[in-house]
Amino acid sequence: MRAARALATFDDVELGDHICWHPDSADASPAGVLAYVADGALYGDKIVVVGAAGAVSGLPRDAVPSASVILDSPRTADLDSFLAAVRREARTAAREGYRSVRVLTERAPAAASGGAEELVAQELKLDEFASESNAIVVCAFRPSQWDGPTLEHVTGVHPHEMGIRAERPAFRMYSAGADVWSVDGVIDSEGADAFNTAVRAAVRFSPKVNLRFDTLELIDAAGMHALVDAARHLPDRRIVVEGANDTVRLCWELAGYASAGLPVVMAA
Amino acid sequence: MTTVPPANIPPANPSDGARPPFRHELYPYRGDGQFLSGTLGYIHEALEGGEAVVVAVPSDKASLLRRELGDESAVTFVDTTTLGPNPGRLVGAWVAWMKERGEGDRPVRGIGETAWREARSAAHLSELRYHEWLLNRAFARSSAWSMLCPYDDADDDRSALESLSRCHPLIRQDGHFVRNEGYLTAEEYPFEVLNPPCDPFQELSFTHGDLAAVRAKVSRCASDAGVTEEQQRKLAVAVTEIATNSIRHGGGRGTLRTWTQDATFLCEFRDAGYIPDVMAGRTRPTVDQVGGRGLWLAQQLCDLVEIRSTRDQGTTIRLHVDVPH
Repeated sequence: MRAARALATFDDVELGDHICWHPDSADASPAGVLAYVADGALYGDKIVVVGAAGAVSGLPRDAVPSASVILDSPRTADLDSFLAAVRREARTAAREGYRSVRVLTERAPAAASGGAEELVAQELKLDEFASESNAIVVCAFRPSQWDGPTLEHVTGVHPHEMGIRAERPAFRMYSAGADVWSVDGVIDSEGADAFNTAVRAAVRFSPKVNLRFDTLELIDAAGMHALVDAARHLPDRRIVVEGANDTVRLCWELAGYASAGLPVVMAA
Repeated sequence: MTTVPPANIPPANPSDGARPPFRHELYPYRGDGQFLSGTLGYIHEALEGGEAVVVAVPSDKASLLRRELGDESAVTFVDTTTLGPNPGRLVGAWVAWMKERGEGDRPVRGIGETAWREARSAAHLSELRYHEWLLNRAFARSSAWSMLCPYDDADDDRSALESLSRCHPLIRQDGHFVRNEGYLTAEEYPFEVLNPPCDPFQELSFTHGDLAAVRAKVSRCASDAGVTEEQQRKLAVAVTEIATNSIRHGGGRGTLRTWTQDATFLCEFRDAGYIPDVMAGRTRPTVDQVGGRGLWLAQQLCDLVEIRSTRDQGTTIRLHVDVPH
Protein backbone atom coordinates (compact mmCIF):
# COMPACT_ATOMS: atom_id res chain seq x y z
CA MET A 1 0.00 0.00 0.00
CA ARG A 2 1.51 3.32 -1.08
CA ALA A 3 1.43 6.22 1.32
CA ALA A 4 2.41 9.85 1.02
CA ARG A 5 5.65 10.71 2.80
CA ALA A 6 8.60 13.07 2.83
CA LEU A 7 12.13 11.74 2.34
CA ALA A 8 15.03 13.15 4.30
CA THR A 9 17.56 11.95 1.71
CA PHE A 10 17.67 9.86 -1.45
CA ASP A 11 18.75 6.96 0.76
CA ASP A 12 15.10 6.71 1.79
CA VAL A 13 13.67 5.99 -1.65
CA GLU A 14 11.60 2.86 -2.03
CA LEU A 15 10.28 0.95 -4.99
CA GLY A 16 7.15 2.60 -6.37
CA ASP A 17 8.10 6.06 -5.16
CA HIS A 18 7.26 9.08 -7.29
CA ILE A 19 9.29 11.87 -5.82
CA CYS A 20 9.06 15.61 -6.26
CA TRP A 21 12.49 17.18 -5.87
CA HIS A 22 13.46 20.83 -5.83
CA PRO A 23 17.19 20.75 -6.74
CA ASP A 24 17.86 24.38 -5.94
CA SER A 25 15.90 24.51 -2.71
CA ALA A 26 17.67 25.14 0.56
CA ASP A 27 17.56 21.52 1.67
CA ALA A 28 18.77 20.04 -1.64
CA SER A 29 22.17 18.46 -1.63
CA PRO A 30 24.16 18.38 -4.91
CA ALA A 31 25.54 15.05 -3.83
CA GLY A 32 22.07 13.67 -3.35
CA VAL A 33 21.37 12.91 -6.95
CA LEU A 34 24.77 11.22 -7.29
CA ALA A 35 23.87 8.97 -4.40
CA TYR A 36 20.52 8.21 -6.00
CA VAL A 37 22.27 7.09 -9.18
CA ALA A 38 25.01 5.24 -7.35
CA ASP A 39 22.48 3.38 -5.22
CA GLY A 40 20.87 2.15 -8.41
CA ALA A 41 23.90 0.01 -9.05
CA LEU A 42 23.94 -1.11 -5.43
CA TYR A 43 20.34 -2.29 -5.50
CA GLY A 44 20.35 -3.60 -9.06
CA ASP A 45 18.20 -0.87 -10.55
CA LYS A 46 18.71 0.35 -14.09
CA ILE A 47 19.16 4.12 -14.35
CA VAL A 48 17.00 5.93 -16.87
CA VAL A 49 17.80 9.60 -17.29
CA VAL A 50 15.33 11.64 -19.28
CA GLY A 51 17.07 14.57 -20.94
CA ALA A 52 20.75 15.11 -21.52
CA ALA A 53 22.53 13.98 -18.38
CA GLY A 54 24.32 17.25 -17.97
CA ALA A 55 21.02 19.09 -18.07
CA VAL A 56 19.38 16.94 -15.44
CA SER A 57 19.99 18.43 -12.05
CA GLY A 58 23.69 18.93 -12.72
CA LEU A 59 24.30 15.22 -13.00
CA PRO A 60 27.73 14.79 -14.71
CA ARG A 61 27.68 12.36 -17.59
CA ASP A 62 30.60 10.43 -16.13
CA ALA A 63 28.55 9.87 -13.00
CA VAL A 64 26.02 7.89 -14.95
CA PRO A 65 26.77 4.14 -14.96
CA SER A 66 27.59 2.78 -18.36
CA ALA A 67 24.57 0.50 -18.30
CA SER A 68 22.29 3.46 -17.90
CA VAL A 69 19.91 4.76 -20.53
CA ILE A 70 19.75 8.42 -21.42
CA LEU A 71 16.57 9.42 -23.18
CA ASP A 72 17.35 12.81 -24.64
CA SER A 73 15.47 12.67 -27.92
CA PRO A 74 13.34 15.75 -28.59
CA ARG A 75 10.41 13.38 -28.90
CA THR A 76 10.57 12.59 -25.20
CA ALA A 77 9.21 16.05 -24.53
CA ASP A 78 5.90 14.58 -25.65
CA LEU A 79 4.26 12.73 -22.77
CA ASP A 80 3.11 9.71 -24.69
CA SER A 81 6.54 9.22 -26.28
CA PHE A 82 8.23 9.81 -22.94
CA LEU A 83 6.02 7.30 -21.13
CA ALA A 84 6.31 4.75 -23.92
CA ALA A 85 10.08 5.05 -23.80
CA VAL A 86 10.24 4.71 -20.03
CA ARG A 87 7.86 1.75 -20.01
CA ARG A 88 9.95 0.11 -22.73
CA GLU A 89 13.08 0.58 -20.64
CA ALA A 90 11.32 -0.87 -17.62
CA ARG A 91 10.35 -3.97 -19.58
CA THR A 92 13.87 -4.28 -20.95
CA ALA A 93 15.35 -3.87 -17.49
CA ALA A 94 13.12 -6.66 -16.19
CA ARG A 95 14.25 -8.95 -18.98
CA GLU A 96 17.87 -8.07 -18.26
CA GLY A 97 17.43 -9.06 -14.63
CA TYR A 98 17.36 -5.66 -12.99
CA ARG A 99 15.27 -5.24 -9.88
CA SER A 100 13.59 -2.15 -11.32
CA VAL A 101 14.31 1.18 -13.00
CA ARG A 102 15.31 4.45 -11.40
CA VAL A 103 14.04 7.32 -13.49
CA LEU A 104 15.49 10.78 -13.14
CA THR A 105 13.86 13.56 -15.08
CA GLU A 106 14.02 17.29 -14.85
CA ARG A 107 10.82 19.06 -15.85
CA ALA A 108 11.31 22.35 -17.61
CA PRO A 109 8.64 24.98 -18.28
CA ALA A 110 9.55 25.12 -21.97
CA ALA A 111 8.63 21.46 -22.35
CA ALA A 112 5.41 21.88 -20.43
CA SER A 113 3.60 24.17 -22.79
CA GLY A 114 0.18 22.67 -22.18
CA GLY A 115 -0.44 24.51 -18.94
CA ALA A 116 -0.81 23.24 -15.39
CA GLU A 117 -3.52 20.71 -16.18
CA GLU A 118 -1.44 19.10 -18.91
CA LEU A 119 1.58 18.97 -16.62
CA VAL A 120 -0.49 17.46 -13.82
CA ALA A 121 -1.91 14.89 -16.24
CA GLN A 122 1.63 13.89 -17.18
CA GLU A 123 2.60 13.55 -13.54
CA LEU A 124 -0.45 11.40 -12.80
CA LYS A 125 0.56 9.10 -15.66
CA LEU A 126 4.10 8.95 -14.31
CA ASP A 127 2.73 8.18 -10.88
CA GLU A 128 0.60 5.39 -12.29
CA PHE A 129 3.71 4.02 -14.01
CA ALA A 130 5.71 4.10 -10.77
CA SER A 131 2.89 2.43 -8.87
CA GLU A 132 2.25 -0.30 -11.44
CA SER A 133 5.85 -1.14 -12.30
CA ASN A 134 7.49 -0.56 -8.91
CA ALA A 135 9.79 1.92 -10.59
CA ILE A 136 11.33 4.83 -8.73
CA VAL A 137 10.70 8.15 -10.45
CA VAL A 138 12.36 11.37 -9.38
CA CYS A 139 10.99 14.54 -10.97
CA ALA A 140 13.17 17.60 -10.52
CA PHE A 141 11.43 20.98 -10.53
CA ARG A 142 13.65 23.99 -10.02
CA PRO A 143 11.58 26.53 -8.05
CA SER A 144 13.48 29.30 -9.77
CA GLN A 145 12.02 28.21 -13.11
CA TRP A 146 8.40 27.71 -12.13
CA ASP A 147 5.68 29.96 -10.80
CA GLY A 148 4.37 29.20 -7.34
CA PRO A 149 0.85 28.03 -8.30
CA THR A 150 2.17 25.60 -10.92
CA LEU A 151 4.65 24.17 -8.43
CA GLU A 152 1.80 23.67 -5.96
CA HIS A 153 -0.27 21.91 -8.61
CA VAL A 154 2.51 19.43 -9.45
CA THR A 155 3.52 18.94 -5.83
CA GLY A 156 -0.04 17.81 -5.12
CA VAL A 157 0.27 14.89 -7.54
CA HIS A 158 3.56 13.54 -6.17
CA PRO A 159 3.01 11.26 -3.19
CA HIS A 160 6.63 11.65 -2.18
CA GLU A 161 8.97 14.59 -1.89
CA MET A 162 12.50 15.34 -0.85
CA GLY A 163 12.88 17.35 2.30
CA ILE A 164 10.05 18.65 4.46
CA ARG A 165 6.56 18.08 3.10
CA ALA A 166 5.39 21.31 1.49
CA GLU A 167 2.45 22.80 3.36
CA ARG A 168 0.74 23.82 0.15
CA PRO A 169 -1.14 22.19 -1.22
CA ALA A 170 -2.14 20.31 1.91
CA PHE A 171 -3.26 17.25 -0.08
CA ARG A 172 -1.45 14.64 -2.14
CA MET A 173 -3.23 12.65 -4.85
CA TYR A 174 -1.60 9.51 -6.18
CA SER A 175 -2.29 6.24 -7.92
CA ALA A 176 -3.74 3.35 -5.95
CA GLY A 177 -4.55 1.11 -8.92
CA ALA A 178 -6.13 1.38 -12.33
CA ASP A 179 -8.30 4.53 -12.31
CA VAL A 180 -8.09 4.62 -8.53
CA TRP A 181 -6.49 7.63 -6.84
CA SER A 182 -5.79 8.06 -3.16
CA VAL A 183 -6.10 11.51 -1.67
CA ASP A 184 -4.14 12.22 1.48
CA GLY A 185 -4.15 15.21 3.83
CA VAL A 186 -6.44 18.23 3.70
CA ILE A 187 -8.31 19.84 0.83
CA ASP A 188 -9.12 23.39 1.84
CA SER A 189 -9.69 26.63 -0.04
CA GLU A 190 -5.94 27.10 -0.43
CA GLY A 191 -5.57 23.76 -2.23
CA ALA A 192 -8.93 23.61 -3.96
CA ASP A 193 -7.64 24.88 -7.32
CA ALA A 194 -4.82 22.35 -7.33
CA PHE A 195 -7.25 19.57 -6.39
CA ASN A 196 -9.65 20.66 -9.13
CA THR A 197 -6.80 20.48 -11.64
CA ALA A 198 -5.71 17.05 -10.41
CA VAL A 199 -9.22 15.60 -10.65
CA ARG A 200 -9.81 17.19 -14.05
CA ALA A 201 -6.61 15.53 -15.23
CA ALA A 202 -7.63 12.18 -13.75
CA VAL A 203 -11.04 12.13 -15.43
CA ARG A 204 -9.37 12.79 -18.78
CA PHE A 205 -8.05 9.26 -18.75
CA SER A 206 -11.21 7.43 -17.79
CA PRO A 207 -14.94 8.14 -17.62
CA LYS A 208 -15.14 6.42 -14.24
CA VAL A 209 -12.66 7.24 -11.52
CA ASN A 210 -12.47 6.09 -7.92
CA LEU A 211 -11.07 8.40 -5.27
CA ARG A 212 -9.90 6.82 -2.02
CA PHE A 213 -10.33 9.26 0.88
CA ASP A 214 -9.07 6.84 3.57
CA THR A 215 -6.28 9.21 4.61
CA LEU A 216 -8.04 12.46 3.83
CA GLU A 217 -8.47 14.33 7.08
CA LEU A 218 -10.68 17.17 5.94
CA ILE A 219 -12.36 18.66 2.90
CA ASP A 220 -13.97 22.09 3.10
CA ALA A 221 -16.68 23.70 1.00
CA ALA A 222 -14.21 24.96 -1.59
CA GLY A 223 -12.70 21.48 -1.88
CA MET A 224 -16.07 19.83 -2.34
CA HIS A 225 -17.02 22.37 -4.98
CA ALA A 226 -13.70 21.76 -6.73
CA LEU A 227 -14.45 18.04 -6.86
CA VAL A 228 -17.94 18.47 -8.28
CA ASP A 229 -16.74 21.08 -10.76
CA ALA A 230 -13.99 18.77 -12.02
CA ALA A 231 -16.43 15.90 -12.48
CA ARG A 232 -18.75 18.15 -14.48
CA HIS A 233 -15.90 19.49 -16.59
CA LEU A 234 -16.21 16.66 -19.10
CA PRO A 235 -19.44 14.94 -20.12
CA ASP A 236 -20.44 11.51 -18.86
CA ARG A 237 -17.87 11.40 -16.08
CA ARG A 238 -18.50 9.60 -12.83
CA ILE A 239 -16.42 9.77 -9.67
CA VAL A 240 -16.99 7.41 -6.77
CA VAL A 241 -15.46 8.48 -3.47
CA GLU A 242 -14.73 5.67 -1.04
CA GLY A 243 -13.22 5.37 2.41
CA ALA A 244 -14.12 8.87 3.59
CA ASN A 245 -14.26 9.45 7.32
CA ASP A 246 -17.52 10.29 9.09
CA THR A 247 -16.87 14.04 9.14
CA VAL A 248 -16.09 14.19 5.42
CA ARG A 249 -19.26 12.24 4.63
CA LEU A 250 -21.28 14.46 6.98
CA CYS A 251 -19.95 17.62 5.33
CA TRP A 252 -20.72 16.22 1.89
CA GLU A 253 -24.31 15.65 2.91
CA LEU A 254 -24.61 19.00 4.69
CA ALA A 255 -23.21 20.83 1.68
CA GLY A 256 -26.06 19.48 -0.43
CA TYR A 257 -24.01 17.17 -2.62
CA ALA A 258 -25.60 13.91 -1.53
CA SER A 259 -28.50 14.37 -3.92
CA ALA A 260 -29.07 12.10 -6.87
CA GLY A 261 -27.96 13.21 -10.29
CA LEU A 262 -24.49 14.43 -9.41
CA PRO A 263 -21.55 12.82 -11.20
CA VAL A 264 -19.83 12.41 -7.82
CA VAL A 265 -21.05 9.78 -5.39
CA MET A 266 -19.85 9.54 -1.80
CA ALA A 267 -20.02 5.84 -0.99
CA ALA A 268 -20.95 4.78 2.54
CA MET B 1 -50.32 46.08 21.67
CA THR B 2 -53.09 46.78 19.22
CA THR B 3 -55.88 44.32 18.74
CA VAL B 4 -56.51 43.50 15.13
CA PRO B 5 -60.24 43.00 14.58
CA PRO B 6 -60.95 39.72 12.87
CA ALA B 7 -62.61 41.59 10.01
CA ASN B 8 -59.28 43.21 9.17
CA ILE B 9 -57.39 39.96 9.16
CA PRO B 10 -56.96 38.44 5.74
CA PRO B 11 -58.54 35.03 5.58
CA ALA B 12 -56.24 32.07 5.89
CA ASN B 13 -57.19 30.75 2.49
CA PRO B 14 -58.93 33.55 0.60
CA SER B 15 -61.07 32.77 -2.40
CA ASP B 16 -59.49 35.47 -4.57
CA GLY B 17 -56.19 33.67 -4.57
CA ALA B 18 -54.33 36.34 -2.60
CA ARG B 19 -52.66 35.00 0.48
CA PRO B 20 -51.88 36.71 3.75
CA PRO B 21 -48.27 37.48 4.56
CA PHE B 22 -46.34 35.24 6.93
CA ARG B 23 -47.94 35.39 10.36
CA HIS B 24 -45.60 34.89 13.28
CA GLU B 25 -47.49 34.83 16.54
CA LEU B 26 -46.27 34.56 20.10
CA TYR B 27 -48.68 32.75 22.38
CA PRO B 28 -47.94 33.25 26.08
CA TYR B 29 -49.83 30.71 28.18
CA ARG B 30 -49.94 29.30 31.69
CA GLY B 31 -50.66 25.66 32.30
CA ASP B 32 -51.63 22.76 30.10
CA GLY B 33 -55.20 23.98 29.71
CA GLN B 34 -54.20 27.26 28.13
CA PHE B 35 -51.55 25.53 26.03
CA LEU B 36 -54.13 23.16 24.59
CA SER B 37 -56.83 25.74 24.03
CA GLY B 38 -54.48 28.07 22.16
CA THR B 39 -52.69 25.50 20.06
CA LEU B 40 -55.78 23.40 19.29
CA GLY B 41 -57.64 26.52 18.21
CA TYR B 42 -54.78 27.38 15.88
CA ILE B 43 -54.67 23.83 14.53
CA HIS B 44 -58.42 23.65 13.94
CA GLU B 45 -58.28 26.93 12.04
CA ALA B 46 -55.66 25.35 9.83
CA LEU B 47 -57.56 22.13 9.28
CA GLU B 48 -60.75 23.99 8.39
CA GLY B 49 -58.76 25.88 5.76
CA GLY B 50 -57.25 22.70 4.33
CA GLU B 51 -53.80 23.58 5.65
CA ALA B 52 -51.15 21.23 6.97
CA VAL B 53 -49.63 21.70 10.42
CA VAL B 54 -46.11 20.98 11.63
CA VAL B 55 -45.72 20.79 15.40
CA ALA B 56 -42.32 21.11 17.12
CA VAL B 57 -42.92 21.35 20.86
CA PRO B 58 -41.33 19.68 23.92
CA SER B 59 -42.24 16.02 24.23
CA ASP B 60 -44.67 16.48 27.15
CA LYS B 61 -46.60 19.08 25.19
CA ALA B 62 -46.54 16.92 22.09
CA SER B 63 -48.12 14.10 24.10
CA LEU B 64 -50.95 16.41 25.18
CA LEU B 65 -51.67 17.40 21.60
CA ARG B 66 -51.43 13.86 20.27
CA ARG B 67 -54.04 12.73 22.77
CA GLU B 68 -56.40 15.43 21.54
CA LEU B 69 -55.74 15.07 17.83
CA GLY B 70 -55.66 11.30 17.51
CA ASP B 71 -54.32 10.26 14.13
CA GLU B 72 -55.01 13.49 12.28
CA SER B 73 -52.98 13.06 9.14
CA ALA B 74 -52.68 16.77 8.39
CA VAL B 75 -50.69 17.30 11.57
CA THR B 76 -47.03 16.23 11.67
CA PHE B 77 -44.97 16.16 14.84
CA VAL B 78 -41.24 16.81 14.55
CA ASP B 79 -38.51 16.64 17.16
CA THR B 80 -36.17 19.62 17.30
CA THR B 81 -33.85 17.87 19.73
CA THR B 82 -32.52 15.81 16.81
CA LEU B 83 -31.08 19.02 15.37
CA GLY B 84 -28.72 19.47 18.28
CA PRO B 85 -28.41 22.48 20.53
CA ASN B 86 -27.59 25.18 17.97
CA PRO B 87 -30.54 27.51 17.25
CA GLY B 88 -28.74 28.45 14.04
CA ARG B 89 -30.00 25.18 12.55
CA LEU B 90 -33.67 25.83 13.21
CA VAL B 91 -34.50 28.08 10.26
CA GLY B 92 -33.13 25.53 7.80
CA ALA B 93 -35.06 22.77 9.55
CA TRP B 94 -38.33 24.72 9.49
CA VAL B 95 -37.88 25.53 5.82
CA ALA B 96 -37.44 21.82 5.11
CA TRP B 97 -40.39 20.75 7.25
CA MET B 98 -42.70 23.39 5.78
CA LYS B 99 -41.67 22.55 2.22
CA GLU B 100 -42.14 18.87 2.83
CA ARG B 101 -45.66 19.33 4.18
CA GLY B 102 -46.56 22.07 1.73
CA GLU B 103 -46.17 20.03 -1.40
CA GLY B 104 -48.53 21.17 -4.12
CA ASP B 105 -48.60 24.71 -2.77
CA ARG B 106 -50.59 23.65 0.25
CA PRO B 107 -50.49 26.26 3.03
CA VAL B 108 -48.66 25.12 6.13
CA ARG B 109 -48.76 26.32 9.71
CA GLY B 110 -46.04 25.67 12.21
CA ILE B 111 -46.22 25.47 15.97
CA GLY B 112 -42.82 25.86 17.58
CA GLU B 113 -42.20 26.00 21.29
CA THR B 114 -38.67 26.40 22.55
CA ALA B 115 -37.69 24.85 25.85
CA TRP B 116 -36.45 28.19 27.13
CA ARG B 117 -35.63 26.90 30.58
CA GLU B 118 -33.15 24.49 29.02
CA ALA B 119 -31.05 27.27 27.53
CA ARG B 120 -27.48 26.52 28.53
CA SER B 121 -26.02 29.99 28.64
CA ALA B 122 -26.78 33.64 28.11
CA ALA B 123 -25.31 33.32 24.62
CA HIS B 124 -27.58 30.37 23.86
CA LEU B 125 -30.62 32.28 25.13
CA SER B 126 -29.66 35.27 23.04
CA GLU B 127 -29.32 33.16 19.89
CA LEU B 128 -32.67 31.49 20.56
CA ARG B 129 -34.33 34.90 20.63
CA TYR B 130 -32.45 35.99 17.53
CA HIS B 131 -33.73 32.87 15.77
CA GLU B 132 -37.29 33.96 16.54
CA TRP B 133 -36.58 37.38 15.03
CA LEU B 134 -34.94 35.80 11.97
CA LEU B 135 -38.03 33.67 11.29
CA ASN B 136 -39.77 36.87 10.18
CA ARG B 137 -37.02 37.38 7.61
CA ALA B 138 -36.80 33.75 6.62
CA PHE B 139 -40.47 33.44 5.79
CA ALA B 140 -41.20 37.05 4.85
CA ARG B 141 -41.88 36.08 1.27
CA SER B 142 -43.57 32.82 2.12
CA SER B 143 -47.21 33.73 2.22
CA ALA B 144 -48.20 30.09 2.45
CA TRP B 145 -46.67 29.68 5.85
CA SER B 146 -47.41 30.93 9.35
CA MET B 147 -46.09 30.11 12.77
CA LEU B 148 -47.37 30.04 16.33
CA CYS B 149 -44.83 30.13 19.14
CA PRO B 150 -46.32 29.00 22.46
CA TYR B 151 -44.42 30.40 25.45
CA ASP B 152 -44.85 28.99 28.94
CA ASP B 153 -45.24 32.07 31.10
CA ALA B 154 -45.55 30.18 34.37
CA ASP B 155 -42.47 31.87 35.79
CA ASP B 156 -44.09 35.28 35.36
CA ASP B 157 -40.73 36.59 34.13
CA ARG B 158 -41.80 39.90 32.56
CA SER B 159 -38.36 40.68 31.28
CA ALA B 160 -37.98 37.35 29.48
CA LEU B 161 -41.44 37.61 27.96
CA GLU B 162 -40.80 41.18 26.84
CA SER B 163 -37.49 40.23 25.18
CA LEU B 164 -39.16 37.41 23.32
CA SER B 165 -42.27 39.29 22.36
CA ARG B 166 -40.14 41.91 20.58
CA CYS B 167 -39.24 39.20 18.06
CA HIS B 168 -42.88 38.47 17.17
CA PRO B 169 -45.02 40.86 15.12
CA LEU B 170 -48.22 39.29 16.44
CA ILE B 171 -49.45 38.06 19.82
CA ARG B 172 -52.20 35.49 20.20
CA GLN B 173 -54.79 36.21 22.87
CA ASP B 174 -58.16 34.57 23.43
CA GLY B 175 -58.17 32.87 20.07
CA HIS B 176 -57.26 35.97 18.08
CA PHE B 177 -53.96 37.56 17.18
CA VAL B 178 -53.17 41.15 17.93
CA ARG B 179 -50.51 43.33 16.46
CA ASN B 180 -47.51 43.71 18.74
CA GLU B 181 -46.52 47.35 18.98
CA GLY B 182 -43.29 46.37 20.71
CA TYR B 183 -42.11 44.30 17.74
CA LEU B 184 -38.63 45.16 16.52
CA THR B 185 -39.18 46.58 13.08
CA ALA B 186 -35.63 47.93 12.67
CA GLU B 187 -33.50 46.47 9.92
CA GLU B 188 -30.77 45.55 12.36
CA TYR B 189 -31.28 43.29 15.35
CA PRO B 190 -30.16 44.85 18.64
CA PHE B 191 -27.77 42.15 19.78
CA GLU B 192 -26.51 41.96 23.32
CA VAL B 193 -22.85 43.04 23.52
CA LEU B 194 -20.47 40.09 23.44
CA ASN B 195 -18.62 39.50 26.67
CA PRO B 196 -14.84 39.84 26.38
CA PRO B 197 -12.85 36.61 26.07
CA CYS B 198 -12.02 34.88 29.31
CA ASP B 199 -8.43 35.02 30.47
CA PRO B 200 -6.26 33.29 29.57
CA PHE B 201 -6.99 33.29 25.85
CA GLN B 202 -4.80 32.35 22.91
CA GLU B 203 -4.47 34.65 19.92
CA LEU B 204 -3.25 34.21 16.36
CA SER B 205 -3.25 36.67 13.49
CA PHE B 206 -3.67 34.96 10.14
CA THR B 207 -3.67 35.77 6.48
CA HIS B 208 -3.43 34.04 3.12
CA GLY B 209 -1.57 30.75 3.44
CA ASP B 210 -2.23 30.33 7.16
CA LEU B 211 -5.18 27.95 7.19
CA ALA B 212 -3.05 25.04 8.38
CA ALA B 213 -1.67 27.23 11.19
CA VAL B 214 -5.20 28.21 12.21
CA ARG B 215 -6.27 24.56 12.35
CA ALA B 216 -3.15 23.58 14.28
CA LYS B 217 -3.71 26.32 16.85
CA VAL B 218 -7.35 25.42 17.32
CA SER B 219 -6.55 21.73 17.53
CA ARG B 220 -3.98 22.25 20.28
CA CYS B 221 -6.22 24.52 22.33
CA ALA B 222 -9.31 22.37 21.84
CA SER B 223 -7.42 19.27 22.86
CA ASP B 224 -6.16 21.02 26.00
CA ALA B 225 -9.74 22.06 26.77
CA GLY B 226 -11.01 18.47 26.61
CA VAL B 227 -12.86 18.70 23.29
CA THR B 228 -13.33 15.17 21.90
CA GLU B 229 -11.60 14.08 18.70
CA GLU B 230 -14.89 13.84 16.85
CA GLN B 231 -15.76 17.39 17.89
CA GLN B 232 -12.28 18.52 16.88
CA ARG B 233 -12.71 17.11 13.37
CA LYS B 234 -15.96 19.03 12.95
CA LEU B 235 -14.45 22.15 14.47
CA ALA B 236 -11.51 21.93 12.05
CA VAL B 237 -13.92 22.23 9.13
CA ALA B 238 -15.79 25.11 10.77
CA VAL B 239 -12.67 27.13 11.57
CA THR B 240 -11.34 26.51 8.06
CA GLU B 241 -14.55 27.95 6.63
CA ILE B 242 -14.61 30.99 8.88
CA ALA B 243 -10.91 31.75 8.45
CA THR B 244 -11.33 31.36 4.68
CA ASN B 245 -14.15 33.91 4.77
CA SER B 246 -11.89 36.33 6.67
CA ILE B 247 -9.13 35.92 4.10
CA ARG B 248 -11.40 36.12 1.07
CA HIS B 249 -14.01 38.63 2.20
CA GLY B 250 -12.71 40.21 5.38
CA GLY B 251 -9.80 42.24 4.15
CA GLY B 252 -7.38 39.38 3.57
CA ARG B 253 -6.63 38.76 7.22
CA GLY B 254 -8.20 38.05 10.55
CA THR B 255 -7.55 37.39 14.20
CA LEU B 256 -8.30 34.14 15.97
CA ARG B 257 -8.82 33.90 19.69
CA THR B 258 -9.61 30.76 21.62
CA TRP B 259 -10.58 30.28 25.22
CA THR B 260 -12.64 28.11 27.51
CA GLN B 261 -15.59 29.44 29.45
CA ASP B 262 -17.43 27.19 31.86
CA ALA B 263 -18.01 24.02 29.85
CA THR B 264 -17.60 25.63 26.44
CA PHE B 265 -14.60 25.94 24.14
CA LEU B 266 -14.79 29.06 22.00
CA CYS B 267 -13.05 30.19 18.82
CA GLU B 268 -13.51 33.82 17.91
CA PHE B 269 -12.68 35.23 14.48
CA ARG B 270 -12.49 38.96 13.86
CA ASP B 271 -11.98 40.62 10.50
CA ALA B 272 -12.78 43.81 8.64
CA GLY B 273 -15.49 42.32 6.44
CA TYR B 274 -19.23 42.83 6.57
CA ILE B 275 -21.93 40.20 6.13
CA PRO B 276 -24.99 42.09 4.89
CA ASP B 277 -27.28 39.06 4.64
CA VAL B 278 -28.62 38.12 8.07
CA MET B 279 -29.81 34.82 6.60
CA ALA B 280 -26.30 33.80 5.53
CA GLY B 281 -25.67 30.25 6.67
CA ARG B 282 -29.22 29.69 7.89
CA THR B 283 -30.68 27.87 4.90
CA ARG B 284 -29.52 24.65 3.28
CA PRO B 285 -27.46 25.30 0.14
CA THR B 286 -28.71 23.97 -3.15
CA VAL B 287 -26.57 21.56 -5.12
CA ASP B 288 -25.80 24.10 -7.84
CA GLN B 289 -25.00 26.95 -5.47
CA VAL B 290 -21.43 28.05 -6.09
CA GLY B 291 -20.58 29.57 -2.70
CA GLY B 292 -22.28 30.32 0.59
CA ARG B 293 -21.67 26.98 2.24
CA GLY B 294 -19.11 28.05 4.82
CA LEU B 295 -21.39 29.61 7.42
CA TRP B 296 -23.96 26.87 6.86
CA LEU B 297 -21.36 24.21 7.62
CA ALA B 298 -20.21 26.13 10.71
CA GLN B 299 -23.79 26.30 12.00
CA GLN B 300 -24.27 22.58 11.42
CA LEU B 301 -20.96 21.52 12.95
CA CYS B 302 -20.78 23.72 16.06
CA ASP B 303 -22.97 23.79 19.15
CA LEU B 304 -23.54 27.53 18.89
CA VAL B 305 -22.48 30.24 16.45
CA GLU B 306 -22.64 33.95 17.25
CA ILE B 307 -22.29 36.37 14.34
CA ARG B 308 -21.93 40.11 14.80
CA SER B 309 -21.31 42.11 11.67
CA THR B 310 -21.54 45.83 10.98
CA ARG B 311 -20.11 48.02 8.25
CA ASP B 312 -18.29 50.09 10.85
CA GLN B 313 -16.83 47.44 13.10
CA GLY B 314 -16.41 44.48 10.79
CA THR B 315 -17.33 40.93 11.64
CA THR B 316 -16.91 38.85 14.77
CA ILE B 317 -17.88 35.20 14.71
CA ARG B 318 -17.74 32.95 17.74
CA LEU B 319 -17.88 29.19 17.37
CA HIS B 320 -18.91 27.33 20.52
CA VAL B 321 -18.21 23.69 21.24
CA ASP B 322 -19.63 22.03 24.33
CA VAL B 323 -16.92 20.31 26.33
CA PRO B 324 -18.01 16.95 27.74
CA HIS B 325 -18.03 16.74 31.52
